[in-house]
Amino acid sequence: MRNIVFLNFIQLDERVLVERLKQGDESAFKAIVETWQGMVFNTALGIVQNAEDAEDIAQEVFVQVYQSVNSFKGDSKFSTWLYRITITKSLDHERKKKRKKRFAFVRSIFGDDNEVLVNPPDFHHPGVTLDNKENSAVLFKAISELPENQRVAFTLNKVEGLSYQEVADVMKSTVSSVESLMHRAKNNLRKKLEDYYNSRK
Amino acid sequence: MNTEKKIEKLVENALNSLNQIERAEPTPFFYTRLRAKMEKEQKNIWERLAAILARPVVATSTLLLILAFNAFFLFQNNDGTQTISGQSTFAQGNNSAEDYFTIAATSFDYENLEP
Repeated sequence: MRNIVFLNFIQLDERVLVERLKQGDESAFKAIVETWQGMVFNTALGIVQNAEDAEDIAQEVFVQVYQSVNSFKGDSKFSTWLYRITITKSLDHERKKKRKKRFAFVRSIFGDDNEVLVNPPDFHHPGVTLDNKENSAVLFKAISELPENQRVAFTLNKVEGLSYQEVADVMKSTVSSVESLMHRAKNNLRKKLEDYYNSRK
Repeated sequence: MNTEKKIEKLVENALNSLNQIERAEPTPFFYTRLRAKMEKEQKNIWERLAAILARPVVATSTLLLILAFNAFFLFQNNDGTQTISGQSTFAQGNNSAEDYFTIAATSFDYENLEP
């Protein structure tokens, strides 16, 4: 009972902050950023696997929140809305990166190889425990090769710690769809990891 | 068999490596950097205006409005011309150039009568 009361208090606080932001209250914006910057940054980091890019994306998310808060109707939680903006911007960033790589590759075929294609170093998430650093780097590499929906579902569940219901709310989907996505993600990851460890024999 | 079990264990370890992961935080003074970025963007008003005008809905609406105004004035002018020639035909019963200019001159005289 106490937990329900506490959660309702947080939601009320959230609503008050959003209303104040809609009226242009700068201190409300600061409070929103300070409350949710970790969540936004961590989510972006899980998808793009680069701290600098994740920070740029986090800034873009809050700029969009500031500019379009009036379009938030309150039919979902504010944090759910934030997650959706973060995921959209992170995936846009990844698609842009892929297009750049493809373009650079095509240019190199035609002899214009001024741009050197460098493979990025292994990604080490700062929140992973020390004894899991190497294993998690291998896992993140495999996650980056998953189809978008599986990647998003897996990241939200494993990196952000969201329940399947919360993941479904963010992805505007159902719990059973999320379960299916997670099942397929784990199977794909298992296959990729097996190939990786077999190649190292 | 041994190698297979070994690989299976490595795979399981990798899959479980995100257990107990903690949330990463951005570097300090994130809000300060965010405000600096927003102020820089605000200063560039012309670019923002261009961005608004470049939006497909805005650009298309503006173009349609200009075309509508043009069409309106064009049709208004056409109606005026037809009225004059209609009057001359009615007055004279024929369309000779002489008659047209006579009528036009007469109309002009009427318009320029001094009190």
